[in-house]
Amino acid sequence: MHYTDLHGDRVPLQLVSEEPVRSLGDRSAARLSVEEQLSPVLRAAYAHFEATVAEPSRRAGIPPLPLFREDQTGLLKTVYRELVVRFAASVDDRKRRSILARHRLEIRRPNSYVADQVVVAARSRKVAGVDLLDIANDLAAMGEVRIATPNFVSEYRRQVVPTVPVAQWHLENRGTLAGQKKGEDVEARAAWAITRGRLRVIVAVLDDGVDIEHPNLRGRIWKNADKTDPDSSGRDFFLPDDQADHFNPRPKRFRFPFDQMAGNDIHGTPCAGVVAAAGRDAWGIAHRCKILAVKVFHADDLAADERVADAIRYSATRAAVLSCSWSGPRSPDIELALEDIGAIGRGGLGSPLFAATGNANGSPVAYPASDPNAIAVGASTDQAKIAKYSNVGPQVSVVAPSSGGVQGIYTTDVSLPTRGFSIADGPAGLHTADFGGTSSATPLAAGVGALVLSVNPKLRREEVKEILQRTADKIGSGYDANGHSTTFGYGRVNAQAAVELAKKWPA
Amino acid sequence: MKPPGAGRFVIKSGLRESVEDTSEVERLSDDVVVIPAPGGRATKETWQQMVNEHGEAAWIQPVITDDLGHERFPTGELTVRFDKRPSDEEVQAFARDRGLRVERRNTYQPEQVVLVPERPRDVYLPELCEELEREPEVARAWLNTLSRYTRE
Repeated sequence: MHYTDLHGDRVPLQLVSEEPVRSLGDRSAARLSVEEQLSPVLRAAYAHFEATVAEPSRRAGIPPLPLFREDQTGLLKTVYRELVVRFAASVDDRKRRSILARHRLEIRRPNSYVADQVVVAARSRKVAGVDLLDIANDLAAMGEVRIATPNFVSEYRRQVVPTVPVAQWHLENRGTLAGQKKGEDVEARAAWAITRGRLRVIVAVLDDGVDIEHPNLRGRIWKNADKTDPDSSGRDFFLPDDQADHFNPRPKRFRFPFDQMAGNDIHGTPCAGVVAAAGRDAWGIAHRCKILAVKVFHADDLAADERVADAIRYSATRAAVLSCSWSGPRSPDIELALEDIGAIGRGGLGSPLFAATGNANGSPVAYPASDPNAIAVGASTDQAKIAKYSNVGPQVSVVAPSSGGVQGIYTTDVSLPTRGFSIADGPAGLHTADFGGTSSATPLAAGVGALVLSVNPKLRREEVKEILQRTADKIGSGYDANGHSTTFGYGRVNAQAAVELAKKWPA
Repeated sequence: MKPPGAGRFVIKSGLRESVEDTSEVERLSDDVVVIPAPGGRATKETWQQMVNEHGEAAWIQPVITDDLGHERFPTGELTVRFDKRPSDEEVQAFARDRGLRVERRNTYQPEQVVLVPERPRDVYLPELCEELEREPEVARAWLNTLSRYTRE
């Protein structure tokens, strides 16, 4: 089903139901999703229809009111009996009446502001609802008609795009500090005008643990709806499955000095914040998505390749996107796990895995980023340059803004007192401005991947990679004829362009 | 077969005291150490030499590396990934026929099974892995290892 827009393009609709809910608490409410039931606009629309239209219609034997969902926006629409028709200015009154008569329509009221536009309805009270789509589309195809659509009652969402703190230049770079290049960011606000992510798009952060009680993360942590399942909010794969603490993905290892990575589980929480911090002092790029906390390391202890590989597989059973800000040896189990998640993830569409190229000052891309089944993410700076520590090679897919220029990355920090990159007490210790590396670039790119899947959940993982690559901005130089650079990959991630392309994919 | 690239051996328990006190010993845990291989080559011959030298109490296997030279430390277990998902009986028979014991099946990939040798001190694991990979029903076989990961 569709209606026709001003440009003559079809706007696809899905028929959700033909029995609109009367009110919350009515049994028919169960036929709609929770989101739909809770939409205040929709409740208001239904209340209006119920009082003025639906009940009298039912008494008069008029067809049921349809509820549509617009494919592109996900917004709900319903219509009763009316159409909106705007004629071309050159069409005289006699012709207009003739066209309407041919379609058995009568004018209900003119538009107060546009003389060529009228609201019409079918002469027969039995022509209503879904029937109106065909009539409208027939009219829209006529040269004498500029637009003809059902007179929808639609759901509108107030789009208040968050203000980005100055410290989060990677989301919106205003060039505040000397040396910063204004605009050198991932175009977060423009992307957020389209989507800020969807709850059902989950990003797994595989690292040394996530502080799932952090005030700026706890509302974004995936929680298992099955309260009988011990896997309530992620797992610790460093530990065997039969240990109770296996189901606790929080940071666990700490040793003095507590603000150093060595001996401390303080890396995963900042990564999670880059993805989905909920807006208390800091925003994640995909702050309406959820985080799956997957602990694979205990600080810098040796880890079993088998456990890391299974953590990857487990993550794909629940998450749409995986973020891996670490490197290690190539092992057959992890190689196969990266292959396996192409089938395990997202019902066979595959879960894209983003991995850090590494911080070894231009060395070859580390593993697993170098794996063909990974999306290798390097780091660029707030000066539109490559971060000097960022590894290079033919496997680099994209770069994302991180430290190495004027400023580092502001994100969440372990909230335990005196633990984390910032060991200040109280609110000052909840965030850090000193995060960075390809470790920070990776969840930023992964979050953009999550935004992409939020607008188009049907993409295969290879398509997510291609979209990010195609829409990346070509910062720096050294790009070959295919648009690739061993330094910058296909360029610096552009969230707005990626989301826009994903919406109309295949291009 | 090409010797594993690290030129070192990992040893669990039974290390002769005279070796333990040298600066060349890297301690991975209370009872696991890494020492250089004789002549820097961890071949089957030098492995046998090490086994003879350190007695029956020691478990010794070569440290292996990936293509960039990053070390991986064998745990004594190995994994076989079969072409097709075998039944439990088939897996048990496969293991029994090769002097192996089934430790566990992979939760997420049932074609994958973890095995250990029945006589762990008598088996040079890299060679065993190569033999298993030549089996017609086996897609891949590898040593389970501990590795150093870097949070970037």
